[in-house]
Amino acid sequence: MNDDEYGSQLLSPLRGEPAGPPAVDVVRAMREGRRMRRRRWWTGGSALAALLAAGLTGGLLVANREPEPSPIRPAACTAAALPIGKHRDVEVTGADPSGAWIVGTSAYKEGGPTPTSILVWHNGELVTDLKPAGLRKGSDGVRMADVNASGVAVGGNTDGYPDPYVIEGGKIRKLAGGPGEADAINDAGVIVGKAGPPNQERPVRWASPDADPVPLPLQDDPLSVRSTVTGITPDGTVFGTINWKAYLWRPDGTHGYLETPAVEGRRVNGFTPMVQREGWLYGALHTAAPGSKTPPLPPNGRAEVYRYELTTGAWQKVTDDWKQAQLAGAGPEGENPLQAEPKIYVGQSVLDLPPLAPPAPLPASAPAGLSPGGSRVDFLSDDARVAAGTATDFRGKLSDRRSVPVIWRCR
Amino acid sequence: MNDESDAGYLEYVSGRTPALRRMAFLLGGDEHQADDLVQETITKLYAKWPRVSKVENVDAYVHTMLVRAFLDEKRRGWWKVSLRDAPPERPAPAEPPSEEKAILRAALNRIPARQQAVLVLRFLCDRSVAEVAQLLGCSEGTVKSQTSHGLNALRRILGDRVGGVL
Repeated sequence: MNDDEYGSQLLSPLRGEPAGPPAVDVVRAMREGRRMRRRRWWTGGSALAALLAAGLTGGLLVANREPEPSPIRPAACTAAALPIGKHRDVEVTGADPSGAWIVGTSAYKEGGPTPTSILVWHNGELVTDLKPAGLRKGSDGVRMADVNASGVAVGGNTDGYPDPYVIEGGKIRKLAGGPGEADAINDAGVIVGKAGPPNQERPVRWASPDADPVPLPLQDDPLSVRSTVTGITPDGTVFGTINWKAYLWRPDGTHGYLETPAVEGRRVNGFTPMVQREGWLYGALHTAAPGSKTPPLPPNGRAEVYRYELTTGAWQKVTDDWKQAQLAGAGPEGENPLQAEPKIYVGQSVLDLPPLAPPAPLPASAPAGLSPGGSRVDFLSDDARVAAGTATDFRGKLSDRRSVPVIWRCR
Repeated sequence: MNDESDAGYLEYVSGRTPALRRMAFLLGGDEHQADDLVQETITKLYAKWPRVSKVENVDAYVHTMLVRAFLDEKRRGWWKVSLRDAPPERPAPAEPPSEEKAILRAALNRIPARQQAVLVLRFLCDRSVAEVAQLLGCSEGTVKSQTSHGLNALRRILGDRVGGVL
């Protein structure tokens, strides 16, 4: 059963109509809507200015470290489309910490060609363009999640029958150990992900692309927990979540839940780690009002972006308005929203990236007042000199829509 | 706003409220929350009506507003924030949700808000991948990957329930 069939069957009991008559007050909507119109008129652009000012003032001291500007902050960036060979529509899916290697996929389109192709770029040049053999009929294809400084990429398929894959020397193969997923690789070639049959997967580590998977230790019965494996640092620290709470496996063999910071006046529900750069784990800290009756677990509550320094244990707040700029590679709701004028966090500062100039004139507006599209930034190199992402244009007809892989070079 | 514009707004809202409420109900699984979401959406809609009424596809615009309101409320925790000055008296539902529904809904509420929205829009509101991409302002590939991540999370929470007995 593929994902679409599974999803339809699984959720079908929830089909139905709301009971009773609607309790919607149109007169009140008009009264409050009128008030909103007047407020908008008076406040004009000042709210936006205040928002930007708040975002640019930097973070808040949470533990034992003063906030400090990121040591590297490029002054200017240029955007360029990555070459896509014969494809029409391509997305970036990952990159190595130096930005030399970038991986992507030909974009899935309903009714379009499947399986999708995997693309690998080195220093901005397309060096690999392949489709794995032996996929199930109807499979969407394999998506590479990460790549390291040697150009070794890892990933998995998303059709409901997951297998972990590796690309090495331009050739793709399955990793040892049977079903699972490969989520990240570091420059030492250590791969982390999950292995095991559906519903029995557990976090694992492949010491190299040729190694068998070894289960990562857990405090609880691995079959009774829900786990995600998010990434691995250069020194081999693995991070992810166990039962929705941040979990760390350190290179010295110790492991456990990450202790979250206290936030004055709020109940901390937990931290969801998302990306790591230069020794910091960035992610969403979820908090709720002290009397909240909801379970004290992410993703319940309000999400704010925090970062945690692995060597010192220091916490810093990056922003409480995560929509104003992107955390390259992730967002509290899974992936970053598209921004017409993309902004990303470099440490606690915000860096503006130029939008990619469209290759041809496009209709001026999106249909029906919807989003005109924009760029999602999927990656930022450790030295903040290279960013990569995907620009999608929603203007024109749905069938004309294109996703373009983008590289930003900064200095 | 002139009377003619108000009349257009009232006509639109009275015709579309059932469909909006249904989408809101499927997103969150709760009639009270659905009413709050629709109330918020039609309030914002009135504020923007002179401009919105001129777009080609008002429904798509309003559905996007509703989905955004749902995502915002998930972030705030809708159970704490009611738009009502004083909640009206409500009769209890005619029949409580079955255990199966309650388990499924609780599991859906445990996964990230955008994944939840993607699964509901695709599998309960029967929207295509392209339509969901446009509603959420993301690529079709993102909708596919969020579908996959969301279903994997549900599998993990629920075990293998499809084709079996809850």
